[in-house]
Amino acid sequence: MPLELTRPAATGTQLLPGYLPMAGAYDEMVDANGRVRPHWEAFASFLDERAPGALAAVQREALRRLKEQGVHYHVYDDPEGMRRPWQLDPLPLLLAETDWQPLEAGLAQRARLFSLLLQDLYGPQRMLREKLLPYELIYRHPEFLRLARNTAMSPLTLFASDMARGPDGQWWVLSDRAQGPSGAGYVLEARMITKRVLGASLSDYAIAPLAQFFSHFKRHLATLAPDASREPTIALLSSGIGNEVYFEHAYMAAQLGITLVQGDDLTVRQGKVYLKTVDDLRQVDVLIRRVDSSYCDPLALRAESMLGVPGLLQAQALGKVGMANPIGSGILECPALLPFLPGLAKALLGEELLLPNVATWWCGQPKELAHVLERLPALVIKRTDRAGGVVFADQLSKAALERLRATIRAEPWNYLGQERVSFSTAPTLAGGGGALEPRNLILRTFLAGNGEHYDVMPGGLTRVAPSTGTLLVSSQGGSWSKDTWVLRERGSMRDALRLHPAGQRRTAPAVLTSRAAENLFWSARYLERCEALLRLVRSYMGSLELYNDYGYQEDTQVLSQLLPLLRAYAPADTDTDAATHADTVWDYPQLNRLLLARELPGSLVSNLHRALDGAYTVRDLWPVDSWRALEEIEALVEYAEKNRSVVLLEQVLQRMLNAVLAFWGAAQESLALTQGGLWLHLGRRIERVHGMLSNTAAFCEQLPGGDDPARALEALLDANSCVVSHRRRYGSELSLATVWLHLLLEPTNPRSLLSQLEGFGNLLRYLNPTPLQGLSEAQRRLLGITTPLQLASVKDWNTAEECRERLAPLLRQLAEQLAQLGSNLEHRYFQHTQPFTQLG
Amino acid sequence: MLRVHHRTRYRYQHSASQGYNLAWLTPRAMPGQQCIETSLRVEPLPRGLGSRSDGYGNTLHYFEIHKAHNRLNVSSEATVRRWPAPDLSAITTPWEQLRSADWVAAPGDLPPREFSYPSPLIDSHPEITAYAAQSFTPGRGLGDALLAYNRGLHADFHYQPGATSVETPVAEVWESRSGVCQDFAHLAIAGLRGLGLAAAYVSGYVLTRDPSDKIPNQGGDASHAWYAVYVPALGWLQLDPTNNLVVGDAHIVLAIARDYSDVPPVKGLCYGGGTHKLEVSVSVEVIAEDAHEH
Repeated sequence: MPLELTRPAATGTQLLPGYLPMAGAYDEMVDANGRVRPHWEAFASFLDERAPGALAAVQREALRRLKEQGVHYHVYDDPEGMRRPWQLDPLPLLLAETDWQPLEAGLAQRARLFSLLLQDLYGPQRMLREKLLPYELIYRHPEFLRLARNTAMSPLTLFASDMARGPDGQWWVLSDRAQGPSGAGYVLEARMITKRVLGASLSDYAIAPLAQFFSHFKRHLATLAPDASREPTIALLSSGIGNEVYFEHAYMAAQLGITLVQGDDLTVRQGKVYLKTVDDLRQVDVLIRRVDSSYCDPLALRAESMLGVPGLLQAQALGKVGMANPIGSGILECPALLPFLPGLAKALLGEELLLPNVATWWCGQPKELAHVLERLPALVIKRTDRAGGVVFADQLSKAALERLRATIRAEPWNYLGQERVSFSTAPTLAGGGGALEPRNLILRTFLAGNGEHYDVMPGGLTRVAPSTGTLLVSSQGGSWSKDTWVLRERGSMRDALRLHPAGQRRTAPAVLTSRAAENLFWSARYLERCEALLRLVRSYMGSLELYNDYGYQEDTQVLSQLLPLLRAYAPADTDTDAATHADTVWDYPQLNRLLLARELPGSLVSNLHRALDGAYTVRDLWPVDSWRALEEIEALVEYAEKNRSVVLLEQVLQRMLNAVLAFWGAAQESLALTQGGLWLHLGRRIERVHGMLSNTAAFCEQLPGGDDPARALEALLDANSCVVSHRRRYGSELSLATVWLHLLLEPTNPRSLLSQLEGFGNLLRYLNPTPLQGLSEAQRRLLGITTPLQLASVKDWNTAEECRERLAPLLRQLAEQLAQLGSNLEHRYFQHTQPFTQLG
Repeated sequence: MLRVHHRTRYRYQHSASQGYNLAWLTPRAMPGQQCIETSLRVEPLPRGLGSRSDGYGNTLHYFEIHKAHNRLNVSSEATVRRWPAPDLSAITTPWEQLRSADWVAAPGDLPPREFSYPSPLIDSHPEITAYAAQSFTPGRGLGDALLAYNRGLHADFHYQPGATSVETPVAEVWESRSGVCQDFAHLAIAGLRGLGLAAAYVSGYVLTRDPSDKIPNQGGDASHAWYAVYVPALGWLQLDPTNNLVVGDAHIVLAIARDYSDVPPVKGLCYGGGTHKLEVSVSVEVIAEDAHEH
């Protein structure tokens, strides 16, 4: 800061006349005299050169990219949907290196201190015995887990602190995160998007890169592995897609090249932790824990938790798995620890605490209690267990204030008061329209280490308040995030660019969990079902238009031929709307319902949502282009749900079909068979074959005697993408015989049933690692389906009656056999964890 | 010397595929109790059977079962040497003086501090504290007050098996004035903590009949529980409110902790299995000193 204050501003004139800092707050860009601080000069001119319109475009582009890449942040209780796009302000917070370096040293000290404190609290408790920390604070805190006491407690691997800058330019620590700090993955994403949307001018800035931090992080993780003789398998334990930062869990797993797991992907055997894959159990050496401590083990901790793994605490206690961070570290997040840190730093490190904390008073002490009660309206009140968030006492009514006083008096140990800090501000576009507004900010910093040494991520995640003048900054409360640039002096860049520190230990490749395989398989099945339905509806609508335009009777025949096929997609639909119209023809309202009624099982959107949910669960596996295609599908679903008009319907149908095909194309290109591609393809094939069998059977069952079904047959071919190939093969000839031959039995038609079955058989071979020992059960079952078709002759299916009485039952029977094959696969390869019950 | 045989049998409705269990079934080595021999047997044959300290210095067993099973038997046996009950009436120090904020535990003693705060099943309860204060009158000697308190609990509350479950909080027990030994212990502890003393929950066994073989003890054919109160220089004094006894050579201590939830004799979960039935049998007998010499 001295640098900034002594150096005169380059221009001496007021830059950015549209930007007005808040009175009384420290503005990161503009000093008290209205001059741009030196390290912001280049960026300020960049902003100045752009009219508000251009900045608004930058912001739109950032939001578009976030959506496209599926960056989400869950907001609990938000009816708008579970996956709300993350809000990123594309203007970064700039920090001068001279400003940053003292923070780095202070943060590293803090991480060492908390790591030692953790080991002391769960070990000798010297800090309690020497009265540097009150017993009551620890013993009454729900995150002090007795069963972890006197066990091997590894140091903290990942640590985070939230900081804010006061009016004098001094940084203060507001709170610390030591369980499973979130946000580091969002920083990477923020950096990528910020750099892209701000464009090439960035080469002028020496921004400290982030990559090195993540390789440090991975190196520290690897050292936690109990067995140093082999490459460690690392997994990230997530609580699943319901978690507010699930996106980040998946993103981190993908970035670090490790396996994303949930509790029931893991099993403890003889105190060791294993991961369930489709083939076998694979031992896990290190877990990044993103499930809160007390939910980690339903045996030893919260019995009702469905997120944990029975025996996990035992594995940690015996040192059989490296845990980052250890179960039990939640106690370190107690905000009432802050006032004791200076004393703890002296006792545990023999050092003065470098970074000041925001002034905090724990009410469990008489003097502090009196102080908090006396100054209540001026303070921020929190609970030691962080339940119930933050109370700004000055915003309470007189009665509420008295109630708060009484509550604190009744259970003083549960409460603490904190000084209200005035946070610094930085220019943001968050208000929209491209105008720059000052918003209060807090900075979350991240460290990775081994207890003795910590590497600090240069920068961190800056979050700004949802509106100007608001101090409450939390992701749940609707804050915006920003990238944070630490601007290096030119000379220091070379070191930072060395991406992989020497001595980096190799880690084992990520593995495919049984859950991931199952989700891929079912996502593919649902998506394929959607594709088939889209084609069928497109065919149907073609005939419906002709009928509406010309009223030919033969078009109604086509419609009534196809209707049972449509109905079969949502067989449970007894909605009166759908039933009122004559049974023979469906018009747009019924189609609309079949496509867009989300509550209707089997409708297009309900199937799409099931496909997307499954895909989201394996978010870490998707290549970028596949994910984009999925996002496109999701956007189209949203659009279609909001705009239910006929004209739009047709356009949207085709675009959805295109997006689905784009997804398959990208997945085919880039998702390796061993990394899950196999299950995706198996799911798609089995669903397609099943769809063809049941659709064709339904078609046959509906065939009337007498009439020439040529138009209906053509529609059936169309729904199976076989019109052109049939025409090229048979010219204008179109009969039951040619259609069955082409659609079912023709080996040279890649869309024929037999070709599809052959493709399915090829995939099954990958599942049978020992072909010399004969066919697998699935292969044998498949043979039972293929053989009757290979032996069949279309001569037997020449008339409508023969189709109804011979072909349809055969196809139905094969469909049933295929369904059995499917459940056989599921049973054999997917871990169906039984529910557990507590013994009473 | 006392010898205990404790069997816990679970019978599952359906076959269970896996089981995970914790058990606090090995008597604690502590002043007043010496463990001569202990054993633990689990059927079906468990994997990963191991023991460690539970953070309170009790022995915690952990085991897993990884094959289909429809019954689980946990059987423990132990022989311990016990010392007779101390004469509490000799402790005449006014009880308030023991309500120190600065307890320093003797080496080897469980540090008392943790046991002065509420715990998962024992919340603070002003009425129970007021009830305890009737025995702990100002200036009264601790021994005298404790004996009166114990006698009062025995007289004022009904021993009634089945009235409560293992998770019944102490406030409900207070309302109903009835429960089993565990509830008596929780009540007693709530009162003592309310007065500012350090009180712990003790899980263990009591001799089915007292040594004279005349008066049957309550809780003798099952797991038993009582409480301990910390007295600087003397350590943990134990009283059994269910039987109105000072704990001595008729009791066996398994584990000491904040309340039942910290140290159930056996807990666990299984995958599958449906509903289950639980049978517990405990027998405690006196054996001669030399019965074990060879």
